[in-house]
Amino acid sequence: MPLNYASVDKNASQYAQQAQDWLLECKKIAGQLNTLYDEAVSDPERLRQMIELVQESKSNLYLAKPLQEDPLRSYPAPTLPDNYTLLSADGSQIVPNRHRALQFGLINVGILTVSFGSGQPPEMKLVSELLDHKDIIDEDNNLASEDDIALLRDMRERTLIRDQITPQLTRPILTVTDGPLDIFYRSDIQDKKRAQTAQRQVYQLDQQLQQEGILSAGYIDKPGSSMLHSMLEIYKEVGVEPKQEADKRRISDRLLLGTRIKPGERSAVFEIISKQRNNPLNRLRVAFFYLNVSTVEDHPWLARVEIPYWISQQQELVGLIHAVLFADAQVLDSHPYPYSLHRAHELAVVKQAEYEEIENLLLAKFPEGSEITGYRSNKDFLKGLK
Amino acid sequence: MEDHNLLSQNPTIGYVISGGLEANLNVRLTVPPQEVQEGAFVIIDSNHWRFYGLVTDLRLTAIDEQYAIQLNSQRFAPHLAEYLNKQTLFTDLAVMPVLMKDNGPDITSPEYPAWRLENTDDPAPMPVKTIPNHHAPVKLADQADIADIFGEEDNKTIFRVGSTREQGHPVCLNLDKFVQRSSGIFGTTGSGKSFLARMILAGLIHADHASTLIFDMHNEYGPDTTSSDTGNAVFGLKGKFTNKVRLVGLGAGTKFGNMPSDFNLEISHSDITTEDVLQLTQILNLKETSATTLDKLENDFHENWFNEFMKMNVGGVVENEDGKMEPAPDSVAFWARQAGIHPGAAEALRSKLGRLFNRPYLIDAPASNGLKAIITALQDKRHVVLSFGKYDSELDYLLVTNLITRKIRDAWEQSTEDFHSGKSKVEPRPLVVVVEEAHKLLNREMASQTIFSTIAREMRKYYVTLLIIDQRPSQIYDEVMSQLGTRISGSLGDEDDINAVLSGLPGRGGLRGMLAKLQPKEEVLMLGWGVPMPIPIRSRRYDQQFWIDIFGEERKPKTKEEILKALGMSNDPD
Amino acid sequence: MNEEQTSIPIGKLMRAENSQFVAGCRVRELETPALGALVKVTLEDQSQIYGLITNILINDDSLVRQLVSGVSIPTEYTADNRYNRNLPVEIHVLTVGYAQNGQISHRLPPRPPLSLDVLHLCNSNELCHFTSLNEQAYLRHILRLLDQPVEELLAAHLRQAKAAHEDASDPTWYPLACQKLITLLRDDYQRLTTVLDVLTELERE
Repeated sequence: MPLNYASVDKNASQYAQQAQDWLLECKKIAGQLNTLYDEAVSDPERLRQMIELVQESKSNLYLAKPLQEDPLRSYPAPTLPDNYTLLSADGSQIVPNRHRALQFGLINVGILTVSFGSGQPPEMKLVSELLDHKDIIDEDNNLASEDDIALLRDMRERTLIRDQITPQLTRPILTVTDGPLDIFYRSDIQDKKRAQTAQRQVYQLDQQLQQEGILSAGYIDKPGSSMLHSMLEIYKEVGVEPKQEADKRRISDRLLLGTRIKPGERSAVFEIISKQRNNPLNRLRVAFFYLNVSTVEDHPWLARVEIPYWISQQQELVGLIHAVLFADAQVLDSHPYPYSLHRAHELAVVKQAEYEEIENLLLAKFPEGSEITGYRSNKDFLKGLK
Repeated sequence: MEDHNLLSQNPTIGYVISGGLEANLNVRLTVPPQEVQEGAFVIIDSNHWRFYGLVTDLRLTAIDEQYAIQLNSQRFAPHLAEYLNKQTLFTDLAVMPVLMKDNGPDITSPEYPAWRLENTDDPAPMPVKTIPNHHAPVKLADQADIADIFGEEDNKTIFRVGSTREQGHPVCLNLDKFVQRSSGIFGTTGSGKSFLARMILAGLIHADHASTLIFDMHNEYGPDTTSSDTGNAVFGLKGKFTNKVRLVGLGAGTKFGNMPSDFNLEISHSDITTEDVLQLTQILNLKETSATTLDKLENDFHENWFNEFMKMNVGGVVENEDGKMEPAPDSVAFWARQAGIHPGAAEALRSKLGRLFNRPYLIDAPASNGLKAIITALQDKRHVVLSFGKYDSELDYLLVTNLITRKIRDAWEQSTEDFHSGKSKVEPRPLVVVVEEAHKLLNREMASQTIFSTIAREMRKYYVTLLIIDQRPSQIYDEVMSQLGTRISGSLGDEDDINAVLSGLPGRGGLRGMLAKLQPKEEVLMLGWGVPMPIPIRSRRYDQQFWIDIFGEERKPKTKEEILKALGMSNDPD
Repeated sequence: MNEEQTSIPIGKLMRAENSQFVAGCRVRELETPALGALVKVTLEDQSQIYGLITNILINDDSLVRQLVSGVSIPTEYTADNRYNRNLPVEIHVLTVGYAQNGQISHRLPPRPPLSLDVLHLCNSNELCHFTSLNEQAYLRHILRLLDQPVEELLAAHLRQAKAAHEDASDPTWYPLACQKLITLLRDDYQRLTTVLDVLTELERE
């Protein structure tokens, strides 16, 4: 039925006002935090010690810890090398839907391999995998959730990228995926065991890559995390007198950093301190920096780039990743985002028509009137009516 | 009659695209325009009708004017330009339809028997009443078509006057029809009308169905002469038709060049009527009073009026009893007083008529009756050529021609009445009076009065018609012109003359251009009642070959073989 | 005749009506079809529809637009777009005839082609055969086009057909085709002279 626009409209102005009030409040707090930031990172060593103290005592942590670079500075990108290889992977999935006639899951991963300096068009690879039945229904007959499938997908992205790397590729080699580097961040994973297995795999994969000298990064566009705010809270908690109340709002790192970082430049590298009850022993140690991919002064567009800890220890490697990702984001200049990731996404995306094709393909494998291909739920059927 | 359901021999030159009876038919030409000329005689077949027409105009047209303006051959590749021109540039003919003939359905078709019943004789061509269909094929007429219309030459009644301009097919004149109405031969000086006239007269004489009386003003017809252009000898009628033709000279001693005349004409005073004199009003400058005077003279002296009047003198006086001078009894004044006529008027008339009195050929009592002799000759199926000799003034011409012709009219009227009443079993012999310089006798002023206009208007019922030969047809009274049946015209330059030739003939505007463009001495246009349809032709040559053709092969020296063959003693198997 | 071996599949059908249709093509195959080339679609019932390529459109792609406005694009990425990406190139085809049971007609087919058929480029033999029938009656379909440069299409097509016929030792075909065009177009002075200008230019090359 058509919306009751009149009743919506009644609240619209009020809503707009609320949003603006909220933003002002956030900005105010961000301003305060900004000042606090200057104070807190003026002595990085002191801050590190505070964080290490808390690492012992608290059981749930998710914050940034400064490393050896000066957090007050904005770092320009070095020159791009003439020859290097960039591999990007992105995936999409079909999640089993209990309302459909058949439950199935699909992972679709696209990988783009670009040999810069060769002039050749990039190589494309697309892998489409129908998930095993055991992957979508667990022992308790629970249907896999979106996050479950996403986890599998994330894993496949990394393993497939790894498989694409051959000795023929020009070095240096950089791999990029969309999203955080570590996969253990999804909240709604049913199968905890699997999650832990996955995390171990990621760790091992990174070990391999480190041995081969292959760089990897995770690119997060419009990051919402507030690790720096959490860091400052520790600072306040441990260091500042008198004790202050916890802030009413969580301020994102983007907002907090404001215009500190010049166009094309990056922040200092930080380590992610993440602690939860069920962490495996060997877990990927992740560092990050914020990259301003905008080219316009006073209009920053900060993306977070996550890198393995070992890379953070070598400034020229960080610089390489910085330069490569910034350059890749400039290709699509009005909306900066790495071109290679976008293409990988384009490769991987599953259209509605394709979804239905797969469904029909599978349904065709069952004999007429099979019980497995139960009817669509009535609700879903009715939704489908035009 | 040939079956013309078969296609004419000639190829198709175009097809009908538009037009009608009122305006001409428009024909799209499918051959180059130079293959067709103005005046071409064409046939158009549609269903089972055959239409006969004359090309009166050729026009260049184009599907779009721009194709015509631009030089396609320069702009486009040669083969493109060539084909483009063929597809976009055309020539259209304007064809004047004149006759049509029902050829009937195909002999094998089911409609044929019914049609045959209705038309037991093959239909003849008739004036056009309908039109051919769109896309009807158009062809140049071939020999058979022309013979269909104009008749097949038989060297007698169907007389060949020339040939078509495009293909040289013979075109004939039906001489019987020709003499049934007055006719005219026109053309500017040097257009060849004299040759044409000679030729037709030769034809008439040879066909011998009518007699001719030729007033030969310039001695062109009777004797042999020399062509002023070529210097060649030109045969005269007397030389070729010795027995049939009588050369008559006006006045004693008149000869035809160095050829003697057969007899000479002297006119008695008593032959001259007052009418004859009145017809000379303009040239003698007679006053209105003359008519009255003449009337009185005739009243008093009857047929001797001329003589008597001539005897009177002007101004003669005698003294009377009282010593006064009074008109002498033999004077004009004396008579005038007696007759109640104003003496001055009568004297004036007498002076003016003096010119007439002096004519040497007017004699009180001629030795023989030349006039009668002429009429008798004509009635005897002979032909008379009258030469005027040195009496070639306008006055002579007018007087003599008028006088003779009047006598002829009287004679022929009489014999016609006799024939109709049953008194005579013999039909009057048709007579053609040939008059040159007709505009002198037949102009507007004279026309109402002269005998010639009467002949032109009325005399065909009495078997007498005129043949006018003239170079200024516009000067001839148009009522007379419109009476002319057949008109044969050489090139004419003057627009009025052209209009005059066409006068009285409906819808002949298309011929106007043709008349102006005839080749002098070579081409003439035939049109009018006596001709089935108007047609420009290349005129037949009046030369030695002509005479050979006229008289057949008898005059041609035979070869030895031919003679033997004729005698049946040849060696040839056939 | 092994026609199938020499035809080249070049695209999928996107949309169709009786008188024209549009096929989609992948960029790297752009080498293959040319303006004015004769193509055919084989239908399910084995009948075929013939057409001439009248236009090749590269549709706007939002990614390409982003690229185009970008600062400087690495060679590898321009190559990526040219060879890898499924740029929606549309080949517009004018229907000029069809074949049923081996009989070729220059009239419009009873039904347009269905989607997802494959488009084939006709080889020289097929081109000669199709264009020599019915005194080049198919040319009248080209003249239906209103929003296209007809003369360019004709020139492109005639050049190809002329070459094919000359290779097959038939030099008479081209002049006859020109004559047919002149006959068809003679009432439209503007169009005809434009076409003839282009053909004259062609011949002088």
